[in-house]
Amino acid sequence: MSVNYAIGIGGTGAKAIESLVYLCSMGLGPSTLRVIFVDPDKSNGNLTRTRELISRYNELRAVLGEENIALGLFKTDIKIFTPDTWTIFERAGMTLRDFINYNLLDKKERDAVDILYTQNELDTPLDQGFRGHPAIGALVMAILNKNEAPWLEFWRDMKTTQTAGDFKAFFFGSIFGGTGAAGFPTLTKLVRDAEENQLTGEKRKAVVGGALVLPYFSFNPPTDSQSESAKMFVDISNFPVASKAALLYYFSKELGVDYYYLIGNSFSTNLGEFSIGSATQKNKADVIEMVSALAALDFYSQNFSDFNGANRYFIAQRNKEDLIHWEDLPVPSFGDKTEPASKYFIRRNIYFTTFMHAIQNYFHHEIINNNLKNINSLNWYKNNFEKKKVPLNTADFKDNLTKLQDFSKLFFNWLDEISLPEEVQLFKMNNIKHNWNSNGTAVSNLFSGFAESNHHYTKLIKEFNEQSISEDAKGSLQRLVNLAYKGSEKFSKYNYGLE
Amino acid sequence: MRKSPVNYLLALVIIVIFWLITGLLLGGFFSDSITLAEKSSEDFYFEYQLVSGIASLLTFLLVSLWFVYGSDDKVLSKQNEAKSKYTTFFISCVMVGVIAAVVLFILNASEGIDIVSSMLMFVVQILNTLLAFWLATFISSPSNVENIPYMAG
Repeated sequence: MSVNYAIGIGGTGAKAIESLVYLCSMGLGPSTLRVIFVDPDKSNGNLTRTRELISRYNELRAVLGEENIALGLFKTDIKIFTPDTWTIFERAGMTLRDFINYNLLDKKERDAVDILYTQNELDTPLDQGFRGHPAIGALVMAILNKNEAPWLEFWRDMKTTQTAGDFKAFFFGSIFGGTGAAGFPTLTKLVRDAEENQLTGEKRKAVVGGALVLPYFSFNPPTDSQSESAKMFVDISNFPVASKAALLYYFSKELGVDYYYLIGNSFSTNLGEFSIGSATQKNKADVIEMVSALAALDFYSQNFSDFNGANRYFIAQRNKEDLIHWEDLPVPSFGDKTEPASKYFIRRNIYFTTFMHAIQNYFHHEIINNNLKNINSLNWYKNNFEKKKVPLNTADFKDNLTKLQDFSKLFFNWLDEISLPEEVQLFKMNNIKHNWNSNGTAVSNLFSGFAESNHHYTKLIKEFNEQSISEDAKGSLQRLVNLAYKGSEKFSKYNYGLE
Repeated sequence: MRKSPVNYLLALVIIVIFWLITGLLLGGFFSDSITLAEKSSEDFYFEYQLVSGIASLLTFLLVSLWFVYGSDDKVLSKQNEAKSKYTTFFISCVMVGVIAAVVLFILNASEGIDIVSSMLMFVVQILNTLLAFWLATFISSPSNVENIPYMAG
């Protein structure tokens, strides 16, 4: 079994991994995934959000049971390390001047540094990132301690891999910012050229892939006081120039990436207020990050046993300039190959979203808020819980169901954010936001591009009534999830014509 | 058994059987055992069968209304309301039985029927409607509401 790593560099990297985690929860990910974040700004809002998501994902996966994982739910075993983030600097407030011990350099060396870096670049504390100045990051990231977590496990895994192409390292980073732009070429080259990566002859253990994200968002310019206090910050007007320079660099130099996925967008989403970094840098999710995550899934699905080291470049484009629809998403060659991958992708999206909608609007509401009163005479409850003496009122069960409900809220929030630009026509957010009582057919119409359905949500309850739960599912939550997912799947098949 | 029209037919069979027992069999027993002042036992038997028959017919009507209500999928989201509705139908059946008994008392008010026989007729009329309703809904309620009748599920 191959070892799959996802390395998120900077804010964009963390956000792409957030999308990857949601795709894994749908059952689209590989069986195992190890995640490393690279960000000097360890309290960056984007990073914190993704970390919390992985933590919730793992908590739920631990209680869902194998029979539900076999259905594809939270299929991927996602591992993060302690610490999960390479923050590069050992202490807070570190500047480039401190990092290179400027004051200990001789005159010639200082002059060289002064030519390459401005005083601002030398003296700005870097614990909130490289602020759009990749030249700083490239220097500091080239010095990587392989014996410290999270890299320790990375290199250990690479050492123990004995088969060519069995170690898959995928990097996410923006080409236009600071941390991503600096880390992407530096770290990928370190990995590909590492001693641990070499096998006999020309063969290598690791294949390196990367999603290079071109400018896809904008934000409001900083206020005068922000500009004054920050001195050095990311300026969106530099994005195109920075991207062009970086692309020329990638084109002319031999880098460490085998599979390039170049991802961009001709319209940019406004993410709102400017932030230098830290907890306030909490940007909304974007569909481009989901496309980046799909690139990673494509990479993980490849068989690299015969990989010959030749670079490959992938570019995807949509059919219409002003519309992103399901068929525009570049879908990896996953699935069991008995159906087109795009259909498989949509199917898993539909099953999972319908399941999450049912958890949020029905199961959690009826079990926790209504205390079973409105469901205790329904067949699904009588036959699968009451008669089997599986209680749905224990504190432990309620706690886990609430965790699942919380996950569904995050998931729908993520869908809402990626659907913000009007060009993105994937989900019908109005219906997703409706609860079942206010709109009885909302759950039948969660996706764009399908004919309007008039199936009332009671059709879905009917499906729950008719499902038989896997006998391996013993616990309350395992049984409920098994029933809810199977019912959602059955309902979705005829509601969206997926049969 | 719970799908239309099978459940309606089954309910009809159950109610007819109950009517055969309470209207024909027990009606015959009452007409033979009760001493009447003026009315002939044949007339009493006919009236008894007629009143029981009308009560059974009303019972079938209530069962049918329950089936119609229960076969609408929307009831799946209103199980609390369905439970109240069932109780209402059940009480209505008791009322039909009570009214049938009262009608029989009025029709035979001047016949001097003893108190034990009167009480027995009262109980039999209520059982004719109530038990028939309960058994029919217990056995063949639509699956949406199959666990709602008393002691079901």
